[in-house]
Amino acid sequence: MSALGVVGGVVQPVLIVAGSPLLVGLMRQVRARLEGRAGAGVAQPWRDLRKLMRKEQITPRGTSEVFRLAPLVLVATTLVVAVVAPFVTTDSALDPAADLFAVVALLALGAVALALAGLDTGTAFGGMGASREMTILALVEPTLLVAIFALSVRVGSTNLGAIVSSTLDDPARVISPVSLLAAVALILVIIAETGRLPVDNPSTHLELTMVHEAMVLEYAGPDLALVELASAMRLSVFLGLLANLFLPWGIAATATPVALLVGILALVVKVGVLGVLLAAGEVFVAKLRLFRVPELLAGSFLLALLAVAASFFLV
Amino acid sequence: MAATVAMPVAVAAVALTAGLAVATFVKAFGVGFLAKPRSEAAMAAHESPSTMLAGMGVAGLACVVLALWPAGILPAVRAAVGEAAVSGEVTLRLTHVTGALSPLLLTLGLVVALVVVAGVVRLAATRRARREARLWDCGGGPMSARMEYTATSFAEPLQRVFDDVVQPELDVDVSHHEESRYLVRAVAYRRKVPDRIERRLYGPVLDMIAAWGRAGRGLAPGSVHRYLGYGFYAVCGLLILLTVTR
Amino acid sequence: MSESLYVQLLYLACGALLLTAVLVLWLRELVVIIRMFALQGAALAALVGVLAAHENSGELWAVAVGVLVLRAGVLPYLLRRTLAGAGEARRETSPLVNVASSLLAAAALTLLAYAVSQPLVALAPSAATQAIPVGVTVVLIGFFVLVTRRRALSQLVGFLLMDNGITAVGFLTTIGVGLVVELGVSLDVLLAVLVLQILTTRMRETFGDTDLDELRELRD
Repeated sequence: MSALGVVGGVVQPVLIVAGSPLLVGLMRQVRARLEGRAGAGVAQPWRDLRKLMRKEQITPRGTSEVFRLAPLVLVATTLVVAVVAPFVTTDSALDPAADLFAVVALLALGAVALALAGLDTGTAFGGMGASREMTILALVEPTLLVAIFALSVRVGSTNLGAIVSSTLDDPARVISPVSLLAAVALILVIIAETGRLPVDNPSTHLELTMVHEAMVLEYAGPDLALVELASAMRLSVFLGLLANLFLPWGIAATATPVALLVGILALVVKVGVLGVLLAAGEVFVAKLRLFRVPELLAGSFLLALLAVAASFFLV
Repeated sequence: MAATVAMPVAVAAVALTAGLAVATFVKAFGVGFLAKPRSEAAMAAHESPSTMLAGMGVAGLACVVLALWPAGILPAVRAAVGEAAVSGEVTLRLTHVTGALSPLLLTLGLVVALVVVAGVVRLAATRRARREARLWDCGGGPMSARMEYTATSFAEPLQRVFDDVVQPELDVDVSHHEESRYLVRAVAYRRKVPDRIERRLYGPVLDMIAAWGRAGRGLAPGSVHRYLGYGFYAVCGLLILLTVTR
Repeated sequence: MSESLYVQLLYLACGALLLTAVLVLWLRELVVIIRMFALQGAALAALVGVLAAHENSGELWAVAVGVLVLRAGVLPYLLRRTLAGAGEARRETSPLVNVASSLLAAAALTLLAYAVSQPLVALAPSAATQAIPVGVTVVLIGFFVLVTRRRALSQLVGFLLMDNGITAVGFLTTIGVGLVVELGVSLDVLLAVLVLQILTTRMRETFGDTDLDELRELRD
């Protein structure tokens, strides 16, 4: 455990918790402007969270501890990922947890907790949302694993920090076919996993099209605030991973204040740009039919597989 | 070369299995333990006596210990594989590639994060007591257990994705009221996933063996003279074959 | 150009070649398929360009420009013109093998291509020959498109995909097959496209559709 890792372990979660609602606000604002609306402002998600936190806690009848614990587990898993994965610094506070498989498993654990909460409510909506979410997750998880694995083959390590620093050492790797194929696969998978268009519409409340929103329909007050915060954090975590796996420049490799400041700025800029691009792209696409989604994910899985194949073949 | 071709396939297979395993766990636990009771018997269900729970508890505890401290059984397994692929006590390190994973540290980290989040929520949220509320039922009155997602409906979208592979058998019975064909009385929906390996591989092999047995029955009618005759013909045939080929 | 940059650029062009081939298999909108094909032409031209820069050969540069003009300019233009006349049929609605399955088939084809091209790579191991499996994969995916698609136009794209793959393998194995040969092959391809274009138009006039399964009626 190095000093750099410890600093990263403190700075990263603070930055992600504070910044992710702003990212969501920024994306909503971009969408609003492109659609000709004024928009509610970048800080609106934080105002929403504050409002929800002040409301009383509600327990729907017939729900168990699983329902009450799920938001906590969701936030906690994302928080652990925010602490250990390389976002601002290449070193990790908890090195063995910065492993590719551990990070993917942690993110999946959060999704599983929420799906179980959806089933726990015992309503048709909860079941529907859980069923759809697990269908998507079952196809997203493999692609995520395979795509990052493709990047780890040439490094010879499944540690995310090692992958990021090896790209820093050898920038030409960014333009290899492995990176190209894995990047396309990861982008598609991240869109699906974070519930953005065209897989899921984050602003819909129409029964036939809901995926994520259907699962969390019964949450209110502080619980809902946690779920909202967690989904914003997951979005930032995924975008941050994407940015640092393929464009790691700016990330702090030494524990000097200047390097850290540059690292923080680089992360904010990279994730912000990715978020704006994602939001701008969403304006132009319609939601895909649910049974077309597997086709999209099968395609991304193929690309991830080709990336692994290329990493073995084009040595 | 075989290894380079096999590796991507193996990675893909393992990854796909992991995804499906997650979905299966949610289905089994969510539908089995969290759903509302759908029958009288299920509604009257109660916990078994503690002596019966103890047995399960020991098995469950062993699972938890193994999950958190897998290094514990490493010495026992090592004898079977020869060379160990992983080493380390708390943090498991892979031998041939640099990869490390520590279930114990990871769990500890998760627990700490849980406590921190719960603490922050307790500080930030209002102190008012939790209030019970009705589930959202679209204004249609309380929802019954029959409106809930069942295991079949939960797995349906995923089954549809792998339609070509698993080839589920679908059976829908619609019964109508006698007065009018337009009034549906009940719809029965059954979906079964037959084992394709069993049907396509074991079935034909078993059929072939059975046919072979039936053919063999004609050869063995129970007459001793016939059995002795087989032996005689076999010996003679063998001798003829020897004279011809030598 | 430094050696490592050459290798990275070469492999990047190969990756783009593979990606566009997969996208042709994946997408349904014929307009987008043609755009992907044009992109693949550009990637092929880039591949030849990288080889030309590495070999420092003016002839190869000329070939690269020729490939760019023909495969990213002329052929897509011809295809687009055929499509503009097609009226309704702008989507590949129901391929014989559904999209998810054909994507899995593409994965299998990739591994097959790798396995069969191993002896070729072993003949003269170098950065360029290492990428031969990519070319072979594009050929196989093109063949697959040719076999499974219904629309005459997407079959045409499949055929051209095969040709792109063959050209790529040619350049990767021999660093240029000579200007004359390349010119001859290109003219051949152009001619084939023109003939098939006429065939498509005639088919539409006769059957009112470009579903190739309609041709079965000729037998009766």
